Amino acid sequence: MGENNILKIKNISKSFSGVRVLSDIEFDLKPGEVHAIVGENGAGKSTLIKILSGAYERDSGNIMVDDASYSVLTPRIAQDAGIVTIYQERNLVPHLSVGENILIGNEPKGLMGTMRWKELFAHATEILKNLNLHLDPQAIVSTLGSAEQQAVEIAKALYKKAKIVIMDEPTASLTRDEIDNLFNLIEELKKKGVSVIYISHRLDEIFRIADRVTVLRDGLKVMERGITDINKDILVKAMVGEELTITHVEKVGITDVLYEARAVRREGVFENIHLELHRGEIVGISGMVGSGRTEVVRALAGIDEIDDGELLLNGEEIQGKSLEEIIKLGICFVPEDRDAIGLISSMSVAGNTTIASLPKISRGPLLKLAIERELSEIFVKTLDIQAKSINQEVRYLSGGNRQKVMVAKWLCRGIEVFIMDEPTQGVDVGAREEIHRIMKHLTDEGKTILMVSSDLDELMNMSHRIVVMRGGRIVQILNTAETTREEVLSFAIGKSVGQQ
Amino acid sequence: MPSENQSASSKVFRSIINIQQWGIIIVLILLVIILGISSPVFLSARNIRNILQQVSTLGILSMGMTVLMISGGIDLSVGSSISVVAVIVGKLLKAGVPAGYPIIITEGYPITDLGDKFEWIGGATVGKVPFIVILFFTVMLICFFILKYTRLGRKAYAIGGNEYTTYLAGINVRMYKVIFYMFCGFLTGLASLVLSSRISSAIPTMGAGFELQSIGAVVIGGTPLTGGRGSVWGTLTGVLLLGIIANGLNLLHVEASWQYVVTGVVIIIAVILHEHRAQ
Repeated sequence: MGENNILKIKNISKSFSGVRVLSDIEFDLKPGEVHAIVGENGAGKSTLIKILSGAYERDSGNIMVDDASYSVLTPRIAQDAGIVTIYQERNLVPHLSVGENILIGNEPKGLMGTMRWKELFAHATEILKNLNLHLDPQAIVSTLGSAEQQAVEIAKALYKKAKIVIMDEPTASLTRDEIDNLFNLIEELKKKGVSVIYISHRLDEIFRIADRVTVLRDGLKVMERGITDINKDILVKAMVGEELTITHVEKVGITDVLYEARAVRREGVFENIHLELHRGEIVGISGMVGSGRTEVVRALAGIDEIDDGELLLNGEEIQGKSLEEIIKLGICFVPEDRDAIGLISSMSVAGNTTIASLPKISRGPLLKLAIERELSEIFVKTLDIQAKSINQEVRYLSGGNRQKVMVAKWLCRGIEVFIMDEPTQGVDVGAREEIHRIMKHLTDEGKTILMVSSDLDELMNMSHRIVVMRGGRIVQILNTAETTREEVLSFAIGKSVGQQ
Repeated sequence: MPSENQSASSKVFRSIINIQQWGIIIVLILLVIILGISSPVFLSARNIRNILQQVSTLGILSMGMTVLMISGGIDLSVGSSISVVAVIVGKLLKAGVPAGYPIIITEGYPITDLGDKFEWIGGATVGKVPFIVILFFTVMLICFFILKYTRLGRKAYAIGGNEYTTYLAGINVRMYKVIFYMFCGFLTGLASLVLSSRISSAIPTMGAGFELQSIGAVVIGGTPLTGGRGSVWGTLTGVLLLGIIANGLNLLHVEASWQYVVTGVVIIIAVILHEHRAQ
């Protein structure tokens, strides 16, 4: 393929509010090559492609496309340079036809700016044919399936004379046949000299389609190899890294079952979920994005309905009860998305702390503001929430402190089972340790925590057991003391250790 | 001890400043100064009483709207509701007849001369203060109390701030939303009685435009359309501002249709000020 690179990246670094997410990344791409990027959740893949597509500004580093250096990259400049990104969410106008979408912004215009439809559809037909796609250019995009819409996006990229197509988890919502079609399409792109940056956590696909693979871990590039030089074991090892010395949590005082899920199922989302949570235990859930982990914990928290199965708290069925009653029984949900569903951002620290426990701070219908103040000051102190005062609106707090306010809300209520989705995501190191300390303290008091986390270190350090999910099922439940990060990750991405 | 008292009082003072919208207060003061200079009667006791009397209907209505809008709701039917209530009450007072829509009931004609007892509401005074002004301020204080010191009020802020989070906290959001609409409806009814009593008749179109005026007053007062924040004090400034503009333009013999233009401009300025403040 020659020495010339279509894309050359050097020393790219990026930090978010002091947290380094990419350091000194180097990456290159040859014409007609498929170069895969793999890594655990949070390794920096998304950040890197967002920098390439112009969505994020890099802190430092060099990007060269076709030997031209780009010191500033906006989405517009990136597109003009020939970089097109195809995200998991479609970027099409649903009510327009396939042809209009492909040629959008460059429609052939007649006198007075009228649309020359014939020409437009002729163009579109040609492009589709070029890619061996059997799609009607006059079909309305919203009537197409997800895979066909993706094909339209690729056709659109080709029309825009894309030199580099970035695909972020392109197979996430595709069936097996559709994946085959996509791979044929990628082969067509390669033939035309278009290069593809392919992001996926499905290792099988990477071995099928990629020419080269780069592994990111914790914002660093740890490996770059031709695909024929490696196998899955090497890849998984590179993704996980060296085994760290892990301070396993001791199993003390874990006794009776507090909460139990039996054969829980929701059609098409998850099935056959069996789980027992003991008093004083932290159970972690591992799984890639889309494994159904969030859906399961929401169902276990009584927020979303299930089609089948039993949810028993102390032997009592919680299904069919209102959320108010479930909370009263002692189950709470601390969501991943603090701002959209976790907090009332226009309310004060005190208001958020007490919102689930209004009866505690009132006499009859009347609020006792003095009691509220006292109570929230206690939580601000014990959780070390950094706020100007308890009256400060929570939207002004940092991520870690907002997370603590969410926990304070449920501590205030008095809860037995804490179900937490990504409890330390987007939180700085200090606050993270603080939150871990709080979690340990809770289990010391005999409470139970079920935690979803994308962070393997967090899972290994905090939980007694790790439940690994894939494709809406529990594939394995591991004792943290007897497992390795590598084993957990292998189950999560669908490859058991030792088998080739 | 004295220093503690002082800090407490300055705290109260600061919180009042915070609650009230500085920008709007400045506009209000400027307006009073300008009108005071250009019209000799503007600052007379009689005119001030007149203004307060005139804004009472809008005021009572807007207090209900404030509570509703803080909870994230909005009621566009208050104008017609005022007419319906007034006409039904009028008919009932005249001799009990089945209900219906105001214009159908009255065939477009006003019902007049509703009787002394009913007119008492609109005409009575306590000392020199009109009864309906006292009623307005009472309603305002009750709303203030509800919003600040009751669970119901706290839930209004919570639901308006983030409905889903509030639901996840185990609060029956749907039921409380109905309650807030009912509360607004109740005060709409009261406002209607005050208005028809004051003009001693029930006119089928008497409520027209009240929905936008009351929403305007609430928004001028700093409650965003999205809810979650706001106070009765803010709404009070909004109501006064609209009332003073109407009164002032009357005194200056400005054509009635211009009042809409001026009101509109004031609302736009208010929204810009709030946006500015929010950033």
